[in-house]
Amino acid sequence: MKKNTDFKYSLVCILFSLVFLVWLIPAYTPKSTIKGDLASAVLPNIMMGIILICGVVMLVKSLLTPKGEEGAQKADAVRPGRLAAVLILLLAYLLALNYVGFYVTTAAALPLALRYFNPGLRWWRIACGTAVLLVFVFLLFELGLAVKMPRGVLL
Amino acid sequence: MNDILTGIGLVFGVRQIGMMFLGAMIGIIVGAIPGLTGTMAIALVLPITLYVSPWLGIPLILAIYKASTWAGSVGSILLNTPGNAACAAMALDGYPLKQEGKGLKALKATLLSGVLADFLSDIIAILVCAPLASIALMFGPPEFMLLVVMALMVIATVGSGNFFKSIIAAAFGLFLALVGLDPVLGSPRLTFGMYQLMDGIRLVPLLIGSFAFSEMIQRMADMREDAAAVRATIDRSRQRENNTLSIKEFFSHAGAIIRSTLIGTGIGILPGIGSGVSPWVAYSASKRASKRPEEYGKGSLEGLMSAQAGANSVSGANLIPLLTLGIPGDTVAAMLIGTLVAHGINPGPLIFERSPEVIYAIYATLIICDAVYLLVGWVTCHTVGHITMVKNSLLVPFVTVLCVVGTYAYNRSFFDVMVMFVFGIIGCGMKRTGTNIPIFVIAFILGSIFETNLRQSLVLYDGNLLGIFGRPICMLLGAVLAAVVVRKLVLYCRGKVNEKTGK
Repeated sequence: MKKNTDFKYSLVCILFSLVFLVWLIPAYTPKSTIKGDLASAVLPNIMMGIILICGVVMLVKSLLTPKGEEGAQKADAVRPGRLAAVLILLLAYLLALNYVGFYVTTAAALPLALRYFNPGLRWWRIACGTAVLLVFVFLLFELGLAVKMPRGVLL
Repeated sequence: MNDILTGIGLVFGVRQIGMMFLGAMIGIIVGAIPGLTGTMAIALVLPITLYVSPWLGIPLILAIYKASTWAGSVGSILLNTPGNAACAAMALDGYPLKQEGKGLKALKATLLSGVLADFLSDIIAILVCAPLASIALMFGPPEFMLLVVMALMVIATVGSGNFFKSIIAAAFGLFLALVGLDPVLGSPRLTFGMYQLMDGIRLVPLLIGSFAFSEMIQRMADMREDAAAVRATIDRSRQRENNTLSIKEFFSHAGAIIRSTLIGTGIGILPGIGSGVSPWVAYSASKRASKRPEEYGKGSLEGLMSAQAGANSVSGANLIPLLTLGIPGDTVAAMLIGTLVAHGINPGPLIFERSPEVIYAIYATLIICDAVYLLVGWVTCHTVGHITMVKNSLLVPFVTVLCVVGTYAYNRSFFDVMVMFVFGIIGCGMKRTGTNIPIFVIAFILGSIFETNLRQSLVLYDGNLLGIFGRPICMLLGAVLAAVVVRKLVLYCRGKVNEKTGK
């Protein structure tokens, strides 16, 4: 529902901006000693201040909005469990790239992903598609542009 | 004259034209597949353009951009499934035409009107850029600073989406641009102890993450395993006139196409608004001016061609603020900046004096790309429907891998891949919450320009920023900025009053 979405959105913005304003910006910006110059932290503080103000305004608006004004957002409903699983698996793929190498990781992960999203797809087609992609990357990037894909720190 | 010939010579070679053909093919394939966009394709090829000559990379990007804008109407016409909000305008009359057996005619009509609009828009850009650049040469740090603020406010107030979310996106983009070394002190700022952030957040991982990788995350999270591909075919009608567009038919709608082109060009000059809004504005204007408005929405060729012309005419106009002021008008211009700057070409008014052959090369690229994608589009018209059969469930894993490869190839840095992942999550969140991603990206690119010019202005005026309004151009820009804000407030108050009175 729109009201819930805006309410959560504004809370996230407020928290995010407060963390930066109160802790991260003071801790990670240098102090300026040049006369007349804008201190290093001023602009980051202004930007976070703008986010904080907009967040507060949106929070107040969402609290004041009558309940009957929810927008039709059911079609965009998130499946949080599935989203979390996708993110975890993608992160695992990326970390594996660094440790095991691009070609080994992709040769293992891509067929599994293709099979999962296309249950009826035959394995030989999946293998061909994976091989075509890996050869394409090798030819274009390694041979063509002289960019070596990660070989993996463990291998 | 030497500069013009040198510029044309930079792009009039076999490899350069070959790149345009390749870009047109990629643009048509990507644009025709519902769910993929030209912006995504450009984000993926951007790292490759950094390894080749700019006069191979820029034609590739521009050809993808122009061709994908036309190809987006393929899904609208054949499937009634527009790939984005802009293409929905083409579905209003395109799909009814297809249902009448005139699908091929509709595709050819959109191609011809799109190319003509593109061409006219490019000519207007060529004529307008040089005079604007000579005005921009009078700009100093205060003017550039105000220009950035004005550009972001225009996008936030006039563009689509919630106003406060647009402001948040712009502020966040400006904030991220501040990460790195302080430009005056040279000390790390907001790097959190990570040496990889000393140079700031890199543009390419941010672009690929925000546009392409976020889309892949969203699709993987939403994908229904049982989704079947819908076959989009163009059934060749037995009546020849249903498969062709006669010269008489085309020129009978020339007035509507030119009107739509002017509308699209005017909208395209304004930063951040562009191709989402212009087809609709052009379509509405065409309907109001039409002698047969009752046909609109029921298979009007005039309506279809007007909408397409409105969409395609934005591409040339978008480059006007980029070339004259160094301010990207939309995300594609933002990506072009990445390519240009990586090759030591800094867009802005000075380039017209120091390297005019670059400007003429870009002009020549725009014109040649129009001819190339017309040719490629005409040849592939009959078979482009088959492209729409490719299922998302097959594409998504491949595109995800290409995102990773492209990001890594940019700087051979695994850190950049993780940055792409983070911005993929942020981009996904922005899309889910209806936050304007283009304004976020444009603000990020403009952030360093804004800060540098702000700090120079403060030094010039001893810390008193109000002093800049003594400069005539600053006064004008300030007045425009105030007008934009006041207009937004008036519209907001009027909306509230209408709500209360029940109108």
